[in-house]
Amino acid sequence: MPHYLIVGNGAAGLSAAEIVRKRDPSGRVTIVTREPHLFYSRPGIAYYLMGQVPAGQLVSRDAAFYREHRLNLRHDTVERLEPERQVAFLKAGGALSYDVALLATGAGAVPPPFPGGDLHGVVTFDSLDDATHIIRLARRARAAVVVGGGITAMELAEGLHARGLHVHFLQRRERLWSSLFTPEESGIIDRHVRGLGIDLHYQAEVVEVVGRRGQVAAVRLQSGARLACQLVTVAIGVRPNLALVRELPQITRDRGILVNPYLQSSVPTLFAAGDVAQVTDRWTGQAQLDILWPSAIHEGRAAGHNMVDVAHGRAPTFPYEKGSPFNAALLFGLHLTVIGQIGSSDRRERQEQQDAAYLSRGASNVWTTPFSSHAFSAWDRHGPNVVRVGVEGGRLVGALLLGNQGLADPLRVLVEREVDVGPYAVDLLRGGSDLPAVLRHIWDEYRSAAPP
Amino acid sequence: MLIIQKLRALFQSEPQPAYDVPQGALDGLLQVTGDATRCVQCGICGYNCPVGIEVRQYARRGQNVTDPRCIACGACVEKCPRGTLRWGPAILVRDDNRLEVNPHALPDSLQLESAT
Repeated sequence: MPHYLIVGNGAAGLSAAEIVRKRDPSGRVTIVTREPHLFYSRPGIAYYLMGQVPAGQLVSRDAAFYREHRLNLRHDTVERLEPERQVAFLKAGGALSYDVALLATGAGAVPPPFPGGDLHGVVTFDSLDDATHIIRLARRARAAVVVGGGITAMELAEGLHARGLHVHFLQRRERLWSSLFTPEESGIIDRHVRGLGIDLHYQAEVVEVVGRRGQVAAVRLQSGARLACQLVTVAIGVRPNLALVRELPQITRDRGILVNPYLQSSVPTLFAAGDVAQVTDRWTGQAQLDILWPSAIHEGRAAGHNMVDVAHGRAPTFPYEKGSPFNAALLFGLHLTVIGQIGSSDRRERQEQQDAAYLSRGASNVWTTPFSSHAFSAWDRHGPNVVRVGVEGGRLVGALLLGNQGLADPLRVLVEREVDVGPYAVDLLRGGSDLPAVLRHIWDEYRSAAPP
Repeated sequence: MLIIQKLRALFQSEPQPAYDVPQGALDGLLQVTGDATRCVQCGICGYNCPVGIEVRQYARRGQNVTDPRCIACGACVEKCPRGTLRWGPAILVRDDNRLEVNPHALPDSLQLESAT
């Protein structure tokens, strides 16, 4: 009776556990989590912060689920692994022998890089408890500073605004999310942010957080400006939680743990999935990080299948075909969908992102991977609605939709299935106001021709 | 049987986004459905459900909300921050080519005995 050890109870870990239980009804499954909670929606903590849903509702599997599926959940921390002996050592004491293990330890916020980052009232936003902590701090605060440019930073700005705080939203660049967005797209979000009464500061670099009696009192910027605040939230990026493999040179890693198409690390009984894993991407051919919920679920499931094979002495049989990285978000009342590779609009920013060892939560490195010279992108804007696609080798390789989401599902299918759009290349290349109609036409043609 | 074949032809292609369906065109044949890829299991849907359906358990699997208590009020569709939930056909052709039907969503005139 094999023992499966899963480190991490997030989207990847739980998805793996569900598959293992289905495929191996008699196996022992232990999930070790640092979290005090049962499985909850990590992306949902933003909606909790915004006051749209209570914390308890985020929990997506109750205790009865763990009982019925005989998933032994331990609220503990794996401190050390010996992959050759297949043993994990727990913080609370004791060791667990396993037949196969999965590292699904996720990614964590990069800590504040400026002086004063350790003051009471300077926070990052990774977990349900972080959200509760921020909500508590927000009750006693009048003004907050949000540092960062990705989805998490935007959600923090929106959430703290919704809780009645005056929000200073600090951007290092001259516009919002410049590695992903075109100037037009950044501008659309900018107007929505300002429309709420949030103070946007561009080219704003924090020099230090100033404290008074250990509490946040202000943020000082390189420009000399001083912003009074009682709360500072920092969301400048996340990086894979690699603490467990740091002392293990036999586990090959780059920015995350490198895995083969079966989600196996360089030690075949040790798998990795989710934010912590670096998986080869079929679009770019590179091992990329995705910090995305749907990717974590699909990787977790694939790992679960292969763990059962390996635990029974077989070769793994379930190659993971990485789909086009996808995310949908609601930012300041605007819907955003990003699919696949849309190229980078800002060479400098993209280079910095590739150089820095982290990216923002809810994003993929694939999105902004630069195109080859044969690729082009086309876009149309109508009011706050943007459609932008990337085209390479006669196929749509990526899409971004801001505002109207009418083409989101069609474009996801066309990208994912690598549908030939070569005959429409000229129409696509023209871009502009015809673009939505051209894409709609391609979709209708594809659907009427597609075999059932 | 004829009706079923027609419906099959209608719905065998990709699920359509809600905004493609003209208002009222499929009255009585619509049902709340989920898109598994978009669902992040935040539970806002179920939190806003006036009759207490755990909508998330359908949404995360990409299923129709077939709970007979559903009064088709659309609160979950409206509140979902990710566009996971929409109005879709009340009859789905599943991957194994079987029909998934919520009898409560269908007009009385439709007979389904010969469906399988």
